[in-house]
Amino acid sequence: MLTRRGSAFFLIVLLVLAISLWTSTPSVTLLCLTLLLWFLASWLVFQVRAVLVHGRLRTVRIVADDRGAVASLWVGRTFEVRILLVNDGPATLPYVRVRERVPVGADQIEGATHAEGPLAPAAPLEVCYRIHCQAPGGVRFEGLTVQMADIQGFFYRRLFVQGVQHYCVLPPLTDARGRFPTVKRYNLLPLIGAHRHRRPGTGSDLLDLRDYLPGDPPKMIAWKASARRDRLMTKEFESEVPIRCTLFVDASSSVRVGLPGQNALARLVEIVAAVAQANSAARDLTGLCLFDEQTTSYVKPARGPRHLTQLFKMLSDAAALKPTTGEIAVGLLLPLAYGLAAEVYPHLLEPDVNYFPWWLPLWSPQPAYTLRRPPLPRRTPLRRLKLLAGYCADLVRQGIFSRLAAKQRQHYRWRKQVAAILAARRRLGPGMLGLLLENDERFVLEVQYFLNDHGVPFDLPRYGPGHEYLFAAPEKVEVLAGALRHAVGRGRDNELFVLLADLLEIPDRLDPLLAAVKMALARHHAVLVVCPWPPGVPPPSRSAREADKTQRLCRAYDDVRHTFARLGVPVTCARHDESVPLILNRLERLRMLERGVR
Amino acid sequence: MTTSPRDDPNLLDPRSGAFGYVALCGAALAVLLLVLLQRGQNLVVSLLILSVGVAGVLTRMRLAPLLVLGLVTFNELFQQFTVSQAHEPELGRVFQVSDVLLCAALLGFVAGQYRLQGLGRFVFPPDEHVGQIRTPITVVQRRRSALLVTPQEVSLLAVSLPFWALAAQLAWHWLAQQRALLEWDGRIVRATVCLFALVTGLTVAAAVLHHVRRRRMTLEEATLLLQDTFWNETRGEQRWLARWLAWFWLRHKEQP
Repeated sequence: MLTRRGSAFFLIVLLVLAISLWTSTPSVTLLCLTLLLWFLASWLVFQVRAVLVHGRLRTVRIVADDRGAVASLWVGRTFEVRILLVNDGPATLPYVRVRERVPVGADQIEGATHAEGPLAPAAPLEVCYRIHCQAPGGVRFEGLTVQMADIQGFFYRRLFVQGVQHYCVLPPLTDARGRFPTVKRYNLLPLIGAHRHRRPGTGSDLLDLRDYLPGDPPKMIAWKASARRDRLMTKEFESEVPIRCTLFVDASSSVRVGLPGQNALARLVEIVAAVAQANSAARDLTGLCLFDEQTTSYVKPARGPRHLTQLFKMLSDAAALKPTTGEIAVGLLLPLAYGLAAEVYPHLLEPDVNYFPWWLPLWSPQPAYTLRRPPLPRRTPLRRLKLLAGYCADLVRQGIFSRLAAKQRQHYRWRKQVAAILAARRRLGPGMLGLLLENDERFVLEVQYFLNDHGVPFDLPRYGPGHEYLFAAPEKVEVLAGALRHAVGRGRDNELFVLLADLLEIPDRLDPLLAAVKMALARHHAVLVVCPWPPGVPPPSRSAREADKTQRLCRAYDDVRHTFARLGVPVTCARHDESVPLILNRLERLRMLERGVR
Repeated sequence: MTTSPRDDPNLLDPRSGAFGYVALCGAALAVLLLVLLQRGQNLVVSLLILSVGVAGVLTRMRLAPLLVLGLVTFNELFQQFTVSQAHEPELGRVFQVSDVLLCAALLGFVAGQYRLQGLGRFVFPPDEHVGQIRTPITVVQRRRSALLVTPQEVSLLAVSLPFWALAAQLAWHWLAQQRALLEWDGRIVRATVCLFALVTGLTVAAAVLHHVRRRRMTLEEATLLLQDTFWNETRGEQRWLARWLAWFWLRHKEQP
């Protein structure tokens, strides 16, 4: 690719050469031939080098902390990223500049993300910088942008060396109050005077002394205490049955909406991580059930560092999930997708492999009958009239104006090239390119998968054209109810089930879940509901009646609270700071259950 | 990034990495001036060429190489048509020392000046901002660091200058031969032959490079090429089918 400097030089030299040939001035012709031969030789050498290193560049990436290379990252810590660009080809590039694409979800805090210099087969270029992760989820390192040029600045080529590596970002190691650990993780044995399980049982640690009741085994009589008090006393020992807590986390699209680390799911992950670590410190058992609109993944309650790491891994995978909807307009996502393709897949946009006929938008623009229109509320004559008027307007716009508008032609070209990349990368089949060009809904879904795969954030509308909530997904209630029934069926003792689920938009579809909650309560388990709350909206309170959306959410929250209050199940909002202490308080109450409850 | 004396933008500092190119440009301008004076060219124009060249080196003026080329051309044309009144071209004039020196000096100045511009101004064109990717924007300098200049590259350029000048002499020797082509004027024949050689050479080189590039395609590129070929061949049928499918899908959604 010629730069402007190279083009100007080439054209001027050609012009002077033509003049000198026309005027038969050999000295000037010799000058021009000298410059022209040198220029063409430089071009040829540059092109040969570019061809020889094509596909022969690779990256070697090492992410490490102070102790060495790591396989996963943690929120709140800094890591060093070191990348080497290695040239396996036979040619040496005289001058290249490489630039790392810092992944979304990680902030660069030190070092430079670019390097420059010659790139020889035995001398790789190195980029080194430090990153800091703000929220759990995942980060995806794409690779390096490589810019090649000759040292005169006549020729230029840009390519992207793929080196995809995915690291999960685990939630921070904090206690219930958000404090980071220093040296010790937790005590293997409880502190002196502390009783982990304040329930009578068959353990070995003395819990209490009480009056003798008929039927108590004689070996439990505390003879010395009985002699001192002149009545029979019985020893009670601590129970060795640990407290179990199972957390049901909603990972459906409704809690994924928003930027990574700033959506409702991120707060749920924080809560679950804090509770799991607090339970781990108390040597209690924690289980986890992730559910969405269709599936569940369940980990039975357990304890130990390996189990905790497994929970964190599941949580980070859940936090990395992104929502999708087919209701978004093509024009909102197309520039993003094309920009990403131009940055990461520049070789797949070259006309040699991804050709677009310039006349195609003039010849055959998208017809009006494949455009999506917002539905009107009722079937009335006025509706039919509006439909007809809208269709006529689309006919005129698509038939005349879209052929002439430069922006429409540019979008048509972008859409074709992006559709070709999507169809080839996801192996959708040879005919899918044509379908993606015409079917808006399928195209925006594929574009969202593409953007989500590469961690590019984008805004999604929460409400559709008919003001309906797009991510309500009432089917997840049945999934949650089934998971709760399954957990209750496998429960062993008084357990705590915490439902961290977005139920605000479906208060009238909760019957299956209420039945499952009743079953849990009937078996003497405790249930607690935590409602996720969208970021940027004030948490619910009786005085929060500021905006329409807030009022709508507060009303829905009140409905859910009243519905569960009839069963004696407390409901809290995830945005409240006391949500983690409330769960731990419930666990503490389970420890102190009086004898005879069960 | 730390700076060192070799990365200093002061071009006249011998410790600077760019000093080698400054010296090369200075030497080229001196040779250019001497050759022009030896040929009996106008002193004022020769000094003007020198001053433009020196100003270009010191200020890294973008147009300096092209201005010097234009001034030398103007001087030669002026000399041929007005001063020496030599309307008859010297077509057999090849391998003259002054011509070789002039060509080498001009090429040395042009190449050195462009490399200096790469050190002082930019090597890469500005990035195209396509789309709206929300990635952290890092400001990357577009100029080449003077730290990367090696004495070898300056020496290699200086040594290669006579080679290009002699190659141009050979090319002119081939171009200036008498040819009978459709009874055209000799100037038109030379221009046609030159254009034909240029276009043919570029086309052959581009075709060979294109072929090699296709042979070294990655699997992803090859898949995309096949898919694109299929789409181009059956574009009309695919469009017809896909539009009816899209219409059916919309109707199905509206009236389930």
